[in-house]
Amino acid sequence: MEGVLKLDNENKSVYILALETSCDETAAAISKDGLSILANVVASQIDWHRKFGGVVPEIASRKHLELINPVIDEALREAEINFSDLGAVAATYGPGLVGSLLVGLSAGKALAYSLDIPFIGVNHIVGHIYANFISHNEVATPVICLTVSGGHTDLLIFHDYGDYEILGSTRDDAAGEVFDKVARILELDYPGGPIIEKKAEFGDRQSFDFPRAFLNDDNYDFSFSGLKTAVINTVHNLKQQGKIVKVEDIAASFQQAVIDILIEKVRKAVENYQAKSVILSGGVAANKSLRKQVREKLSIPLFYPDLKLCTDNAAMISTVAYYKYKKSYFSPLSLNADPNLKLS
Amino acid sequence: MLIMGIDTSTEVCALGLLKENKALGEINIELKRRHSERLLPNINTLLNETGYKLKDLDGIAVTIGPGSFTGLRIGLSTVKTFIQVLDIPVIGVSTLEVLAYSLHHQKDWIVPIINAKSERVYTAIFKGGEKDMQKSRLSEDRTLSLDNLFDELKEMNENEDFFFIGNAVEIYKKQLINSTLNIILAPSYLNQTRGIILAELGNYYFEKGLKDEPLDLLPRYLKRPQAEINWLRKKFNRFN
Repeated sequence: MEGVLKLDNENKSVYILALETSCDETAAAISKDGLSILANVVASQIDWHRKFGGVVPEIASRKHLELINPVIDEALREAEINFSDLGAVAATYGPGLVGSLLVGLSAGKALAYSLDIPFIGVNHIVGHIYANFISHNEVATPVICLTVSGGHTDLLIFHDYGDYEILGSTRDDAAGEVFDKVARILELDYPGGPIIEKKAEFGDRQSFDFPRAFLNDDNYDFSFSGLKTAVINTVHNLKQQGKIVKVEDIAASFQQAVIDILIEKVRKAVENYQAKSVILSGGVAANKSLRKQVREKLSIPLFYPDLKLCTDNAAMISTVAYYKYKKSYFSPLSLNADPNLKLS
Repeated sequence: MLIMGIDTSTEVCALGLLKENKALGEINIELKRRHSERLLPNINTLLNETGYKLKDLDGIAVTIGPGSFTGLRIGLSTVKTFIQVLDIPVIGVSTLEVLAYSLHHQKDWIVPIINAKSERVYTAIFKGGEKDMQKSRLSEDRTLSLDNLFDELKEMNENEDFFFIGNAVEIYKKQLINSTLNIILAPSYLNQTRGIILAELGNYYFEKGLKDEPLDLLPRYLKRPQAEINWLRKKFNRFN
């Protein structure tokens, strides 16, 4: 019998549902062919962690389990599609809090298994990088990418989709984490990033000379624990001496120290690798002073994701998953969470 | 009715498949901390070996604790998501009920104990001879020290026999044997949860018309997160 053998999904759109639960946001998103985001649902748990001044892993895990299925439902409703329309399911499997990761990963694998479609495990950091391609689909390469959030401080060079290498990371605390801790010392609200940025606007960034670690070292690594300790000691000393703690000045000086460290490493990488553009990603990338100063210091284009894609979200995970899907890089159902997952 | 039982609340991954009250198969494997890696592949094996697919299921029974917080969340996240896709009934069952159910055919008291660490056990007291574990239950699931549990049992009835069962039996064997109570240790092969028992108990509850709202199905942790305990202590000077 004559006929035509044809692979019929060559031009068919692929809908991918992705889950992200690596820290304290329970998120689900649906993308169409990678870059078109049909739904981007983020249930923030900030209210439950605020009184503790930081993310409490056990509480985060409990909340993820309560929120994950409603968030999946909401994503389907927002995208106006059904489970049967999905071509694959993705979930973040690291790095992050292991108990939190396991909730989204288990739900993601269960979805893929019950729908009989491929499952794709995604690295959270790669997600933050790809978040930029959702907002800007033409970025000149090589591009230097700085990811700064509550859990990460990584500097990468990116040649093409899937072709990147890590140049340096933090050796102790993540930049965003230090913002939270400094906010706590200054008796400010959680999360620390936005509130310190606000206070810093009204402060003098030269009033305190906080240390800037590794600034001139011949590497791309970061260290923020010395800076954190210096701020804590300064506040303690001022209090002990009965002096007024000018929160705005400390916030401004601290923020400037972080910015100086970040910018110097980016500048060095741009120079050494002849980069054509720079990408800022992660929650701290939302900091306007950081963006402004990077733009002033560098003569090449600077990109950062839309605000809702800067912080943790699942849209970026579904975008990474699409490029893995195209190459048939599927994950087995035995995939486990890896809290210390590295970029490979 | 094709019912699957899924339990990851302790170090054992226990899966069972029951059709019209007949056991089709079960997988019970001590996995320690590898539930995330092994749960779906084992479910797949059980279904493949019995010739069924996930979508053939008519209901799922899942343990909601007490037990390992992480283990419970892996099981529940998986099951709740299955339910979301398959739209079939689900019932959450106490891990202690699953243990006690394997002795429900005899008349003595049944005292399941699961290791809760910090010198405590998760426990509840059941009266044998009754299939409905919610009826035969004399107490809620709780966290107690073994001494406190002994005191309660003494007050209850000093002269009757108490069957002890569960993974903490091995840990506290000496204390159990040396106790002045009439304690009988269950055969050691009953000390871990078994998937088919969970499936059967779940099936019994389904037949009685019981089921849970999938969204409300959450672990019975029996313990607040440590950070919250510390915070409450500081704020209200309570829980001392």
